Amino acid sequence: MLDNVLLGLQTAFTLENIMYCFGGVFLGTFIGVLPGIGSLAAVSMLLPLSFYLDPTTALVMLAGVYYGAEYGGSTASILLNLPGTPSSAVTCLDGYPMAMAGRAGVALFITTIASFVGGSIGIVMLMLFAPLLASFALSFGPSEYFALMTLGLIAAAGVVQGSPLKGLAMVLLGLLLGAVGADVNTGETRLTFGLLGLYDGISLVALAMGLFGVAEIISSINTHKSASKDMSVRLSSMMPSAEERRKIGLPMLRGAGIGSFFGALPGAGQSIAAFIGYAVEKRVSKDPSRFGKGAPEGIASPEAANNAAVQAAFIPTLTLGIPGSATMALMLGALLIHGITPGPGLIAERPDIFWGLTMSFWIGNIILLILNIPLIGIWVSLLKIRYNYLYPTILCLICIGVYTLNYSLFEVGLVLVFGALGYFMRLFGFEPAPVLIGFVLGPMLEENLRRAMLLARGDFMLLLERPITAVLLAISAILLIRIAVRIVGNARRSSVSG
Amino acid sequence: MKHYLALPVIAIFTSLATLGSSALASSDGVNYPEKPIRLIVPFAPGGPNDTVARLMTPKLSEELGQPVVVENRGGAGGVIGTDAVAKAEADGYVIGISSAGALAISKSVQDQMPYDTLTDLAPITLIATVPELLVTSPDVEAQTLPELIQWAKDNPGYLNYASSGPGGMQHLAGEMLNYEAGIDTVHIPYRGAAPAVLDVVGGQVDMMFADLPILLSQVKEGALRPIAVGSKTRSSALPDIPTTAEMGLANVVAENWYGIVAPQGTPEAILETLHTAFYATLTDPDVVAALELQGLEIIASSPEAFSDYIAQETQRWADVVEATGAILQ
Repeated sequence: MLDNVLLGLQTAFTLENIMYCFGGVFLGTFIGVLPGIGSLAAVSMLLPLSFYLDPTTALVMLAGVYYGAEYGGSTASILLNLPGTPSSAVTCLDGYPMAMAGRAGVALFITTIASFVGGSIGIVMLMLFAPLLASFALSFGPSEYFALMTLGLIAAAGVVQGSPLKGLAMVLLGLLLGAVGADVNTGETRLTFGLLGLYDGISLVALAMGLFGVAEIISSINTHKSASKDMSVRLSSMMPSAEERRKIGLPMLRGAGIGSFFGALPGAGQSIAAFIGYAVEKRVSKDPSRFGKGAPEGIASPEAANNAAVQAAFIPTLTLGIPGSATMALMLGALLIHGITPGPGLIAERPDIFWGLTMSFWIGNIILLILNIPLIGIWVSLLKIRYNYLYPTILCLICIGVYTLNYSLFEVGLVLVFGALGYFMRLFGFEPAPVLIGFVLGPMLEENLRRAMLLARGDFMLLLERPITAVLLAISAILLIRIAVRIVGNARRSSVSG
Repeated sequence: MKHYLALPVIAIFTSLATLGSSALASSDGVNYPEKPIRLIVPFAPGGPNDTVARLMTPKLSEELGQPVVVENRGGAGGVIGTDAVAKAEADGYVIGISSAGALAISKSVQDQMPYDTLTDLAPITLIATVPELLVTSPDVEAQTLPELIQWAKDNPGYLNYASSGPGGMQHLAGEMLNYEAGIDTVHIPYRGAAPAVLDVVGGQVDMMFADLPILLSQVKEGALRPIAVGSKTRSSALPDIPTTAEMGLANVVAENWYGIVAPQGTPEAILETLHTAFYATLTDPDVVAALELQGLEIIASSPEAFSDYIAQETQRWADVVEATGAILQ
């Protein structure tokens, strides 16, 4: 272990690798801040560069963009209610109210710290438990994923803020939107209206940018002013109060744990980790009513979760050699170009790559920490720009970002459609976050259930014979009963008092 | 420091700029090429088509004297990107690297095909073929194809096979095996090859056919057991693994392939220039070595031979779909 760490440090601490690491995380932060342009687009544009680089250096840079984007993603969520990446959409819920209350600096400071803590715990997991977590991930088959998604969907009910009925309606809308596209079992198209652009379903980025970003811009059309003219950006004004510092400690650790778990599962992802992190905090909180009004835990936990998840996502990719996401596929592509076929033997055969990369994560996270604290002042001062300059610029960035994903004008159109939908949802008091939850979890739940049922030849009881599945489904059932009891209790109380 | 950051920024701006410039330059073919050429990859970055494209573009750009820019347009199993080539202006500045699925199989399995390969596209060269490899999870006891088939016959309806999705080559290869060997293994579809391979490695699903390169490292590490290759001859990447024909199933033939296509109507002179450049690239020792490392069997055919091959493959897969009943619509 120590030898490996030393080898990794030796590899990571060359001037070239530090420079590329810095370049990667710096670019990643910006990509994350800019709504619509995600790490996938950025990494694919940088991939050709990796031809001219040493494979480890190439990976260090590309990985830097990837996790750097997760740091930056929350910035626009907090300042403008526009998530920079889909996984930071949940940060809007409490980050934006904090910014509205003139505490944007504090919120950004908390996300930076939470991101660093989450990232660090994710790296520790990668260093200590990569092979173990990878073999655990392999024991997750379709039925386990189905049970996990069921649990996630029920747990995420906590994200709903206002009327439970409206929240449920929005989750259902999300599930419906998630059903669009070619059915994975038969190839039969569902709800595509003959449009080839919908064959693979609606893109998550288009949906998130539309519902949150474009809708926010439309609703601000009548606002000519800037958000705030006199926001102080001194370090002292960014420091969370003693009470806030106390409040975010445990949520960060819980978020990081949740993120590491979901990140290590190749079939899950950062967005789920962030949603679950938020839902768990709301559930364990003594006063859940503070959530959605600027609770610091509501940004600390999901930010720690999504940053831990991006680091843990390297576990299945590097230990099994099978990419867990499109961006991971790109990074493996950077190795393939150099004739290195990543497989289960990568860690043993090329310890310099694995440990060099892992150690570069430390360098990258420390750079991000140092980089982001001074940047907070700059980001907050962005709010001084008048909306009539700021928003058209952001709208252009969203469109360019979505366009670069697939070079598809159709998807730009989708963003605008969802922007209009998001605007009307706002008018009638429907929240966008539950739509996103249904949209992300629904297809995974359905696909895995159908796969599990195919494997079990249609016998649902066989699923319950699998221990992980049974435990996860039992927890889901308990949660569901508790929610039902609470709703019935609330209804009784209100009928008694009314 | 600026220097390091400038590169990505330039990369972003040049790729955006090349998008817009296609409408501007003239296209009589005399001075072709006089601006960058877009090579459309109809899949997300990082996949096999993408890797093949990116391994060729440096040499190709050198041969053509203009940069060849890779543009990923994924979706609908390669159909959306291939359609973008078919609908592009036929001036030689948009070409695509497509494969068996979008060029030959989709026609038989998808009902909304927006183009017809043989009439809407001009084949330039068949780059390479890559065998489909049948692998099992190490938990499966059978070591050879006859053992596997015998086991499946003794335990009907027990084995499962994974695929990257319905109507793809992996699915059709599995159905072909069922049909030709007279066995009954159950299709478990996934969204893409990577999650499917993962579940075979994890023993959730017993076996699958997939492009050899994506399985190679798992096979070498013993995480997957190679059973047979679906190509007509053995693969140079795994010379010890027999073909399906050697194992008595001459009709189970499945190999993926990658080829370059241009929009139909591209001037003959331009097609000629492109073919010459691709031929030079595909005979360059460095490019050849890099591609062979990916498990590819390089062909570098003439446009006519590629055209015939597409016609042949289209017919063969149509027959497979009809015979096995693996029809979607």
